[in-house]
Amino acid sequence: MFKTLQNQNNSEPKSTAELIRNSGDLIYDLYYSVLWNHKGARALYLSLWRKIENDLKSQSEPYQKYSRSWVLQVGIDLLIRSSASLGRALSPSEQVMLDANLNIPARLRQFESYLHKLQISDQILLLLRDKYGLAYSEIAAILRIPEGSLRIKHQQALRSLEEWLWDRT
Amino acid sequence: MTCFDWHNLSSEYLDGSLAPVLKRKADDHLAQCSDCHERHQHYRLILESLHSLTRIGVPNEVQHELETGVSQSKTTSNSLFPWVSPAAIKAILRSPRTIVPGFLIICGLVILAALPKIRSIYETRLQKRLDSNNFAELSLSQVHAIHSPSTTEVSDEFSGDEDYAGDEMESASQEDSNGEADSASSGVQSPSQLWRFNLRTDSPQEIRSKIQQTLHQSGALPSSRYIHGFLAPGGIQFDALIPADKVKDLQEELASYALAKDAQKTTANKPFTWFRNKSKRVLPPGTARVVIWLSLN
Repeated sequence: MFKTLQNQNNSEPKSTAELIRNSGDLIYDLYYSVLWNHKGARALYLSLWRKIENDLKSQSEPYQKYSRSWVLQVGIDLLIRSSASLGRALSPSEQVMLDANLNIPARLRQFESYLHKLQISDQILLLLRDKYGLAYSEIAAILRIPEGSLRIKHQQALRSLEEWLWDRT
Repeated sequence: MTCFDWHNLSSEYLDGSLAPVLKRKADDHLAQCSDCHERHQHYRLILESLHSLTRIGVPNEVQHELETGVSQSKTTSNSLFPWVSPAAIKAILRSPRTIVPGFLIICGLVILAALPKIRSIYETRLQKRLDSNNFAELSLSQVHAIHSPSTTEVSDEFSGDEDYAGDEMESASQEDSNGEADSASSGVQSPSQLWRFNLRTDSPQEIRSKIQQTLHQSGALPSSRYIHGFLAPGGIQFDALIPADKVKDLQEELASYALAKDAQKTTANKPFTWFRNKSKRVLPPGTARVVIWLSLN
């Protein structure tokens, strides 16, 4: 399955195996964090590597693009497309319970639930930036958003979370 | 620095990537503004929560499945479209609200595109049956479907509206009148012939009585609707069924009226025309429909 690429002049990862070794855990964790279930994360994860394997076979893209950023870009595109069908959304009763809970420490313990109230793109942004520590420039390349806009979106997402958690609405 | 400025720069402030001058101003603002200070503390708590979220590695079975290539062989053997992800296929299949109307729209477009061809095939087959004189097998509506142009409405009744717009029809059909007259004189009649005689005159009432008499002499069927003529805007119309072999005699008789002295005085260039059309309705065998239009000058 793991095809080795014939490119002598490149220091980028040479095979899907290497790509998986470098970014596999991060992508799986991202999928699980956003989709919130193992089944969806597993299906999407396997689907991603099949796609990358096919792309490597066809070699339609320049080899230089086969880096972590490129894999994340492909993976996040797939995630955004499939999140509606594979992800688990908050049920109305969970939503009501979140809103009814007035205890801040208890709310912080349910931080993941509040995170899932955000839009998918905002969730991905916060996770990439603050959980995995990716640079804004790399996230901007992955999400194809200008860096300035990305910072504003980050700020808005933080503010939304703060308003929900501390009940400023 | 205002609260608005601080909010705009809070992301960089939290990152520690703010320029020293701006950082000093932000620090000063946080020391003065309790609301922004509180928010800043909350943001820090959120970032800590994000950072401390549990990390999950790739499960061993998934890793194993990936390495052995089992998943790939499974999907390529099971999927009709291996280049489309199964998740996407599932998403499509889960949305019948998109698929069903889309399928119906496509079917409708295909039928619309094929409609002219279907119609032509249908008409060709009916025409063949008509040519073989199997009228008994055809319904009236089928015969109408053959003889009527697709853009015009055909009325089942002998209506005056169909015919007493005679002036327009006359001008449109005069070019064919000579050729049609030749075929009339040959005496070969198809079962569904409609003869039109258009006559312009200054004295239609006088000619009306003559035409009534001529139609009686020609053996017009008494059941004919407008055998006595009826007054319509712009003229008088007769509509009668006569034996097909009497058409030629009737034509000569009418021509004599046209060549009469009164009619020749008219200012019209062609006071008298006749031409043959296909009848839009089935006529009794051996009969021809004659429509005479006396238009007022």
